[in-house]
Order: sequence, then C-alpha cells, then structure tokens
Amino acid sequence: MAEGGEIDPMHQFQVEPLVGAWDPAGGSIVFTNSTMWMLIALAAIWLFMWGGMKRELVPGRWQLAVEGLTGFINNMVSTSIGPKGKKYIPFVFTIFMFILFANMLGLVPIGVVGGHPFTVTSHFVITGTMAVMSFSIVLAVGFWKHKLKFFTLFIPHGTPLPMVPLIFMIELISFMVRPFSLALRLFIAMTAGHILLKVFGSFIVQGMNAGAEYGLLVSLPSFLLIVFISALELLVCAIQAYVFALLTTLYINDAENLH
Amino acid sequence: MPQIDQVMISYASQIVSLLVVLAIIYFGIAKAMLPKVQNTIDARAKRVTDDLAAAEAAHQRADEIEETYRNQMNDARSDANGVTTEAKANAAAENDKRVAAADEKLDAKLAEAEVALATARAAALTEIENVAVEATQDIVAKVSGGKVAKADASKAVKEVMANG
Repeated sequence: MAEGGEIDPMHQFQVEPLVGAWDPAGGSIVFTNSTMWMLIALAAIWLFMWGGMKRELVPGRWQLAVEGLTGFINNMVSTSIGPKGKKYIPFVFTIFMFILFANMLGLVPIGVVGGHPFTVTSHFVITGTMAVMSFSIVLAVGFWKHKLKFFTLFIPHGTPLPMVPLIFMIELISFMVRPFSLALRLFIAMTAGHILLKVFGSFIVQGMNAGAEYGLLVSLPSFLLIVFISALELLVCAIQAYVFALLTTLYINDAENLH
Repeated sequence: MPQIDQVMISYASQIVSLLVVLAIIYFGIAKAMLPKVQNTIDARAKRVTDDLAAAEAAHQRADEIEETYRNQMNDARSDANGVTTEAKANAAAENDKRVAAADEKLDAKLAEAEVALATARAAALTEIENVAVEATQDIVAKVSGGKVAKADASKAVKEVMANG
C-alpha cells in the first residue's frame, strides 16, 4: 500500500521474501509471506483438529465442530464416490481444510494493527498446483484401474456410432479443461473479492481525506458496503473450498466408477 | 498483477512450500488425527445403536412380563370363579339336605300328633257312648220305670250314633 495518495489494490498479492531475497534469474526457494501464511494455516488446522481430539462420548462445542466438519467431508466423499471413496478422504480433507483455512486467514482483519494478511489461494501457482494434484490423481486412478478402457469415459452411454468421434473430442476437451477451471475458479474468486474489499477500503480513506461531505457521501456507503462484502467473502471462502473439494471428489468418482 | 508478474520469480518457492505444507497436513493431520476423530464418531454411533437395541429388548421383555402377568391374573380369576361356583353348589346341596332332614322330622311329628289325635278322639267317642248308655238307662228308668239292660242300651245308642 503506497503512503498517502494512491492505494494499490494489487499490492496485497505481492509475494515478498521475509528471509533472504529473490534470485533475479527465478526459481529461487525462499521463506516468503506466502510461506508464512501457509504455515499459519497449517498451525490453525492442527489447532482446530487438536481441539476435537478429546474423544468424549458427549462432545463439547469444539469437538462437535470438528466432528461436524469431518462428518461433512466424509459424507461428501461417500455420497459422491461410494464405499470405495474411503481411501480418498484424507486427500479431500487436506485440500478442503487447506483452502478453507487459507481463504479465511486472508480475511483476518489484522490490517487495523498494521499487519498484512496474505491470501495464499489468490495465486494461480498455488491453486494450479492443487488442481494438477487432483487431476493427476484422477488420471492415475483411472488408468491404473481401467487401463485403456478409461477412454470410454469420453463416450457417454447410448451415443450413436457416427457421433462417437465428435462426442469423444468434445468430452476429451471438457475433461482436459477441468484442472484449469478448478484452478482459475478459486484463484479468481479470491483475487476479485480481495480487490473489491481493497477498492472500497481505499474509497473510505480517500473520501475521509477529501473532507466531511465526501466522507458522508462516499465513505459511509462504502463502509456499509464493505461490511456486507466482508460477510459475502466469508461465505465465498467456504463455498470455494467446498466447490474445489466437491469437484475433486466428483472427478475421482469418474475415475473410480467408470460410468 | 503480482500473480502474473511474479510467476517466474516465485513459482518454485510457492510450489515447494505448498507441497511441504500439504504433505504435513496429509500425513500429520489427515492420516493421523482424522481417523481418531472418525473412530470417536463411529464408536458413538455404535453405542447409540446398541443402547437403542438394548432399550428395545428391555421393552419387549417388559411386554412379555406384562403378558405373563395378565395371563396369570386371568387364570387366577377363572380359578377363583370355579372355587366360588363349587362353594355355592356345595352350600346349596348342604342346604337341601338340611331342609330335607327338617321336613322328615316335621313329618314324623305330624304323624305322631295325628295318631295321638285319633286315639284321643276314639277315647272321647267311647266316653260319649258310655255316658249316652248310662243316660239312656236313666231316661228309660225315669220315664217307664223299667230297667234296660246295659247291653241293650248300648246297642240302641250305637244304632243311633251310627245314623248320626
């Protein structure tokens, strides 16, 4: 964020080395703010799960929250894939929890004390890597279980013979697009939401700087709007994590239960 | 847009840290902690199912006990009815016997009384006859001065009395 005049809404996405510096040639591995926020997400997930490990017969609030979340993931996987989906629960849990916590941590209001939350999932390198992981699992499971019969996934039941090549191409393309849609959906939802918040935030600051009447006319509506957008963003955080996890299970289901 | 501007410079750092963190979550939390949470849920679900089954069994047992109790009550009631009827019949028979015995006694008394009555009447008749004979003798003696033998007088009296 630039001091005084202009506020750059894109600055929040900057990846900065906290230790060391970038190698200008690229490909350097350093401890960045992104790394730090991933570790914070990891710690938060661990803390959350640790609170649910009391293993009481009658659960307390925390244990109930943990059991509710694990039950939710369990349900999602078993309804989408069936009993064979049990072995994918840890993976789905991992990406769901990581995305959920990374999204949420990007919204923590530590800006009021001078901190800068960094949204890990607002980078397509991150979302793309996770999408590639999901897609690789789909390919590995599909080809390992069904060998070349996996290609019949691209021919829906009851396709007339002359239509098969055309349908095959269309289904193949839609299949290949899956990792991109998976990655871009999360990346864009997070980026757009944070830009929106930052733009309205800068409206508040600039309106107040411009005088009382501007403050009343611009800053107050902007503030009310930002309250609602923040609530909406919290919802989007959960929904995007859910969508990513759900689509991953659905794609795995394609590979696990071919047709 | 930093996401695009910084791709070449930061991709390795981001990917490596992501993979490390995801691996820690996968092996440290999803594989280690998640099954325990799941076990707790399963154990609770099993316990609830078992408890419900036990409650259902207890309920059935209670129903059975109630059924047995009701049957026993019915049996006892019908037994009691039988006993009462028998007792009533016995009492009635006893009663009849006593009444019959009393009747017999009364009959005997009645017969005795009748015999006594007949004897008394016969005695009275003889007395009247004797008196009548004597009266006849007296009347004849006074009216005609003659004497009538007792046998004749008695004969005449009997004739008259037989005529009424």
